[in-house]
Amino acid sequence: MEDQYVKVVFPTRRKVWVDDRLTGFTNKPIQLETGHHVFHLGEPVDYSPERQEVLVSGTLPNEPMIIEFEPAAAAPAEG
Amino acid sequence: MRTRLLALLVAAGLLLAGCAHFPQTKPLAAWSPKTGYRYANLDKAHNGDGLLVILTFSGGGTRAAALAYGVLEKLRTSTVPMDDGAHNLLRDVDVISSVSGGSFTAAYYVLNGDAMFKPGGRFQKNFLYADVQKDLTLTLVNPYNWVRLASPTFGRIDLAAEVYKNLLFGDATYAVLDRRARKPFLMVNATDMTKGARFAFIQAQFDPLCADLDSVSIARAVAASSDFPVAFTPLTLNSYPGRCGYREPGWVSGALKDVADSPSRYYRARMLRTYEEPSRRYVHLLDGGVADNIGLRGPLTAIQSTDPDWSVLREINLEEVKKLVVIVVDARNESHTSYDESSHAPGLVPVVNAIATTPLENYSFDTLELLKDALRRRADAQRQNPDLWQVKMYRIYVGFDRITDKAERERFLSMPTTFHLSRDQVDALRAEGGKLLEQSSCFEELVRGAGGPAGCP
Repeated sequence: MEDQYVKVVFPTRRKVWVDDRLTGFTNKPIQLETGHHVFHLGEPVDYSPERQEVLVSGTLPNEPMIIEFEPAAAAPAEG
Repeated sequence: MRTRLLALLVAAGLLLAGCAHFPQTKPLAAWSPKTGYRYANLDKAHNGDGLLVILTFSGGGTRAAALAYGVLEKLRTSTVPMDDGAHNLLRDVDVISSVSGGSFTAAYYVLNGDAMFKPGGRFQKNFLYADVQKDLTLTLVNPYNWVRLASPTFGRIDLAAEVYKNLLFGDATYAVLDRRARKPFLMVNATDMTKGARFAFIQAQFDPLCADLDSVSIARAVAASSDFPVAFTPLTLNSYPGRCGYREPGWVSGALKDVADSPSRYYRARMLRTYEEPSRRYVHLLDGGVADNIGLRGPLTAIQSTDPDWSVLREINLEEVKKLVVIVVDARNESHTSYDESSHAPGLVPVVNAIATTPLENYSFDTLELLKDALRRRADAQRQNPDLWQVKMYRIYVGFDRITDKAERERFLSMPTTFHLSRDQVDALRAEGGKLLEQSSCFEELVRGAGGPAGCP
């Protein structure tokens, strides 16, 4: 089993849900097992994208994978 | 006339006995992740005090039960310094994961608490110092039970469960533990015979079966955990896949893509899915030692992964754990034989015994090494990235090979795996459990509040 590290980035401190379980906080490193994981920031859904599925691998404790969410109002307009 | 009536009654009794059936596991009316015996549903599940204590008790009959009992006795009089004062170690145990002989001690403690330590109390009188082997044999030679055993749905393990019920656990079911919702959380482990995988008596394991763990007696769970192959028949549980609205956990669909990137995660997901197969209407269980004889695999997965229903790693990521303590109580023994003094090839019984026990012992050793690696990797990661939540980790091993005196070590290593030991042997095991714990340098660091920034992983 390999350890991986991610940092979910968002302008404010929010709870981070991984695979639909409360697992950590934004802007702080989170340790996970290698593999496909789904990330979101719970309620309210005022962020974008609503969910992200990412293959988490090849990280280091001081080089975590960065997963970004943006406030929904700041999301770029389509078209 | 009277003789005829008596004959009729006896025949009716025998007929009923011949239709003997294992106690049925009830189906779940409707699945919910918020109900049932789960770690998350216990009081103080989220560690406000920052101290997370996990005990694992190995298999080994009364030898294992007595060693584990001695460790509990020592923890009862030990404290660990935390920010808010000294914490009694036994009262702060969060999880006990057990196998086989160790499951008797684990289950009795979780059910009865400090009453377990009463001198001459039920646990000591009816189990630790008793000849349970004789009780099992007497049950087997009772002619009434011969007729019951003729039924294909009632086996020697079901008889054994009745013995354990009468001796120790009464009619208590998991509903009692569920209602109390108190720590420590009990993980009694058996082995799924057809898949060769660990099977824990927790509701998360019963969810895909759509079966209600609350309906299962503690005696049956402990019987399954100590279901030594051949000596006993497999223990059977009912399964009702697809009948309760069960939704598999969120990690499973992602894990099923991980065959190349994370094989162990992939196989855990595959294993969980097998319980949803409509044709799997029963699960047959064997001794937990077949899959994991030290009861450590469940806690190890919880420490390394955020997937399980109970995950230590999630608690660490949520900054709820300041000190993580893992105490592994391993009653492993060593068999001494004279086969290598002869050119004659050993017979069937010793060969079967070797097949049964050698992989078990090798696997236990590997599991211990994996725990050491996992905790040391976390300690290294914390050093490399101070932003990572800093946890002090204490890995404490209680096993006979840590006894420094050769004669004493041999004495314990040569104790047999049985449900009957002498009073002297049980007393010695109890004392040794406490002594080995006390002699552990890591335990000393824990109770003194000493040690490096990451503890002694």
